[in-house]
Amino acid sequence: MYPDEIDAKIAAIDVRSVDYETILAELRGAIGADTATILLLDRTGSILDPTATSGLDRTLRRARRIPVGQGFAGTVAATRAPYEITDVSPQNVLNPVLLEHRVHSLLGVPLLFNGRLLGVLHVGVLKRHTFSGEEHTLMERFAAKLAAEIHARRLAEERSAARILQHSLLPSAPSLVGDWAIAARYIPAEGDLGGDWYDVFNLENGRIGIVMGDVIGHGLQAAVVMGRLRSALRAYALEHSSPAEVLTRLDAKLSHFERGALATVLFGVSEAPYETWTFSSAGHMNPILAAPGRPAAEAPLATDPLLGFRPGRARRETTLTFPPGASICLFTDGLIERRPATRPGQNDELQANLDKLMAAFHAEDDPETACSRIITAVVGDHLAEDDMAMLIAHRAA
Amino acid sequence: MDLTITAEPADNGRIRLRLNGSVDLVSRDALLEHGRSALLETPAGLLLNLSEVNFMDSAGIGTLIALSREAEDSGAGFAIEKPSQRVERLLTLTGLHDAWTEQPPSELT
Repeated sequence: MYPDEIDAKIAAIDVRSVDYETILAELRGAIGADTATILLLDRTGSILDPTATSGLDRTLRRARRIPVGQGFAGTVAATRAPYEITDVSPQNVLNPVLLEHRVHSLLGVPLLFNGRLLGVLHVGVLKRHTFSGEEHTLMERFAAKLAAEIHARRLAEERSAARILQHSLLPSAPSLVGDWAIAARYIPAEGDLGGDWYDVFNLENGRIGIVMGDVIGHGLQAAVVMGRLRSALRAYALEHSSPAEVLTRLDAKLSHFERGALATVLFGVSEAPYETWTFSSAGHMNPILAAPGRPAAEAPLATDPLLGFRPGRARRETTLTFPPGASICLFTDGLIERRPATRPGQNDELQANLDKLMAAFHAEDDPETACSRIITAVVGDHLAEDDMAMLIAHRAA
Repeated sequence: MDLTITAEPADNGRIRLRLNGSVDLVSRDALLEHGRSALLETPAGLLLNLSEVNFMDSAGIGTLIALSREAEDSGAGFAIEKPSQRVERLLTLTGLHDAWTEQPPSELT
């Protein structure tokens, strides 16, 4: 085959909608190789994991993980350059599967996306073969196309994992406690996920807890930290009746086990006859209060630094009394934080959105209606730049 | 909506970083890099002037906290001055304003 023909065949390989094994089988056919393998760099960046292969054992179960810098694929990864071996032997190849299949010659190229190493692609031939300059070029070109696809698939996987995690952690139907009705909304951001969460749970002796929190950062990592914080908060809330004490312990736990992670959290507890709520705030947006016949206003909560900043300091709490018919709205800053770009010159979009929220928040609305009304007023049909969560609790009139 | 960072000498051997623009995810690396090289230059510490910051989000706050940690880990100080109204509000909300604002000398004694 002429290089041009191979080139056309390789260019025609569809990498989008098929699994890696199919892609590799087509690559083998196009370039005339007996084996083809993808190894992907793991999270630590030091190990190559055999991910897909064609022409070798299908299972990959016996293929070994290769440290970067060792063996054939490890050399490609370490030098980030194409590498070929004409005579495969245990001296230059670590993978027993390649040796058992009597692969004689190998050509490996790095899988690079935006300068970042994602893994290694290699093809093998059972007879002695010296790869031509054209074959090198074709493999590198295909590796670039494949790397872009691997990157896209990873993003999509991470996003859907984060979304599943987030949805599994949000209570499905916060409902009635005493004469309180509770409604909540979570709106994920377009394209990116954050670590917002809310929670409502029953404690012993008829006590009830509500939580609004926001892990700083995006993606799966933020969602994972969020999940851990949520569980730990519930556990501490069972053991300690003071919200400030619960957040102090949560702060210590986060700072110890997730160094560098930061989160704002608002945690409130109420007990029969549910006329008051006691809150502690770790750097969270103040909730908004609405009572019959009064305009909505920010709750006067004492705010202490966010979790993960300087653990071990004393935290404060504030008790709010609710007359019949009053409501409280807890939210994350995604709800009101928007960039000034939408209206240049006006800096305090934050305050403007807060004003919109307060204008739309009426104590007369049931919490479901209030949630919808506020989201319509504040977000409208903007695309969500940041994920946002909101929880409204309403005491029957 | 970029961030411009200017370094200049401040009191007590510290370096003042003047930030102009947006402190967010986009400007994170630039701010960390400037902060680190300033910390290499002076053991005394950083003073961040925030009067010209017109946007800061939670990622920006995360960056400031990361920088304050690096300063404290190396035994250097970290303080802010003259936050714009918007930034002051955000820092107060997150409970960081008091932690990073220097008290007038009379209150220190």
